[in-house]
Amino acid sequence: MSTTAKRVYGYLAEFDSASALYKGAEKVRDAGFKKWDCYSPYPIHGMDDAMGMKRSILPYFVFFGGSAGLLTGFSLAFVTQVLIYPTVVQAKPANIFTTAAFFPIMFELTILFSGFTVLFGLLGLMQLPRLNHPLFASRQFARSTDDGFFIAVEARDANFNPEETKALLEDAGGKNIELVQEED
Amino acid sequence: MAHHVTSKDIPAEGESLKGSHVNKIMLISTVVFLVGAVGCLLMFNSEDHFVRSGFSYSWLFAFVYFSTLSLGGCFWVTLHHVTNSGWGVSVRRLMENLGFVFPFMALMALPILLQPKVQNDLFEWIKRHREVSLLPVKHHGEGDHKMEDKDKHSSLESKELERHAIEHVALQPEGESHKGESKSHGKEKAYKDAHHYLSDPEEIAKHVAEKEAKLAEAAFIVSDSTTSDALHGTHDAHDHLLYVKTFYMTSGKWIKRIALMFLFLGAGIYVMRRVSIKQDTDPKPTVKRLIWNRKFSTIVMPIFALTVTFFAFDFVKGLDYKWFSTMYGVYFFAGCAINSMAVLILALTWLRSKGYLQTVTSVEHYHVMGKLMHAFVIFWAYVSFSQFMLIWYANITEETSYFLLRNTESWNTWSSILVWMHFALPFALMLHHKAKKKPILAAAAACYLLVLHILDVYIMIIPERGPSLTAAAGMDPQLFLSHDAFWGDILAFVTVGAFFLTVFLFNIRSARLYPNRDPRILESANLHN
Repeated sequence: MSTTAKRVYGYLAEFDSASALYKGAEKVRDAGFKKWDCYSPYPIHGMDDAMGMKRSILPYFVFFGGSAGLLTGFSLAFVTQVLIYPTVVQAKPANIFTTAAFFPIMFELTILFSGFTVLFGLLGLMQLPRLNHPLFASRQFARSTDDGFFIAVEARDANFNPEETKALLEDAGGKNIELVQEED
Repeated sequence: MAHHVTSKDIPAEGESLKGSHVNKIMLISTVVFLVGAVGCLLMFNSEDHFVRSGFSYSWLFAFVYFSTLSLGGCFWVTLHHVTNSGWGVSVRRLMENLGFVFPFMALMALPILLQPKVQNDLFEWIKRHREVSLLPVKHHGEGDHKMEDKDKHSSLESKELERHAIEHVALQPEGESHKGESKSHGKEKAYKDAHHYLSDPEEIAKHVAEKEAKLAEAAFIVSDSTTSDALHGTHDAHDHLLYVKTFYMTSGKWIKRIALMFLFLGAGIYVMRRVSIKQDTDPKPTVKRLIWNRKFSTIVMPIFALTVTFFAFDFVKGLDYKWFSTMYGVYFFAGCAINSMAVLILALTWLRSKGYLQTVTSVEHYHVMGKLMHAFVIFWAYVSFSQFMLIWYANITEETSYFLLRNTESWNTWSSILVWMHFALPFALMLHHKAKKKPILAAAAACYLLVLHILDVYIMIIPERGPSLTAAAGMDPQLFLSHDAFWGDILAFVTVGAFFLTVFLFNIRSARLYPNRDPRILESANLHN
């Protein structure tokens, strides 16, 4: 047993079922918490609303990623095959109206850049990959990938209060409430 | 999230359209149809050859436009069942009602199917079959070199001219106008002289009347064997093209195929709708009908695919028998899928504005339907571009004729408008989720796409009108007819449109507005995406 003070991550509360988790999440949301999350073995429909989550800004990234792909594809083809080295195939003209020939590559690069933006944008927004998570310190949390439904409220949240938050979680139907401390 | 819908919220008897909400509209649309039908009859029997034959194209355009909408309805019902979907149960009845307009569209096809004159105007291959069937049959060896004067006349007038009509017209404006102008002019003049183009209106009228009188002698359906023998007998390269296509293209096969399309897909959509409606009043609704329909839809799906493909081939692609594109059926289908979804969105908006379907539909349904519509806008662009690019790249004479004609003079402007307004603009505008989720914006997008679909179908059909009809009349082929055939297009469009609306509203009124006893109505009502 170490005697040094550990940093408190927050409260972890278990819920009986997906619907209990859903209703609990609505209460935590209404209490005005911002830094908290729900954990369940499978996705639950409508959870975004129950948690009061805003729409992700990822689509906007993807729009600009895709547009960048479109422009890259066009300029790559246009500069190389029309401006620098006009490529004449079957006596077809090499000018702006040849764009039809470039559409496939413009299309492909739009898709590719959009895909990359989705992947890396998502990883960035979720701050992944990461090597550890403070909740791994909790033994019961392992069940979140099996049959456990959890809500974790972080101590960093401005509304966090050791007693009141615990009472709120109990009131919301949480069980086995545990103060999770970060491991060294 | 809105209130969670439970079975208590759904009335046991469902919802039905009140007569007061629809009777007036149906009365108006019926009257419009009847008045329009009289006008169309007058056009079909017009004394002026060009007014009459030009109107055949107008009618085909209107018929094809509204058929695509109903065909799309069949598609969405079948897709819904075959994929075992739950989201759209509350709007499934609307899809069924839209799809069930399709069998009634057979009535609108009758002028094309039963009128030999209309067929001659539209389909050069049918006319040629009739022409050659009247020629004395020649056997191998005996008539090769001694063509009779009469035959020569008919063969020169009708074959050569029509054959070259489209290419000739299409090539005129651009064709070598810069380099060697005098040379090409000389060529053109020699060509014209050789072919004796008619220009005097009286001469043309006489020529047309003679031709029509002659064609009237031909059988309505020239038998397959007569057709192929006669085509073979002319020893003409262009007739040979038709001869090798007789395995598919004879008027008998053409009519049978169309009858089968209406029969099979009509029966398919009728049965699926019937089974669905039976469920509404069943005191003990089970999953039995749902599963039955799911199994049945696996049969209807291939029937739909064949119907939509051959519908496009037989009614639209057949306008130019030399041209072929295996992508055409898919291109046609993309238009069906987008615009039937647009009709569904509009119908849903109308019903919701009258206070129906409030419990079982929400903005989430708009979101899904908008997403499907948006996806098919992209699909449409993908398919039509694929078709264009392969033809443009390969640059084979038989294949380029379609786009050559549609990129000539003012058609080029309209084709370009189609690219930007039918794809680029709606694609960009509908990207944002609110454009699909807000009923008013989704309905606006649906209206917009329906208007653009008019242009799409117009460009499929109408450019064939001028060159075909002027060439057939023995004139120098023209891109457009001299009279304003556009008003005929509007008349046909309004008439067939009024018929379509009447049948659609009749279908909506004749059954409950949503399958209220479907096992998954709650799943659909609580849709969330």
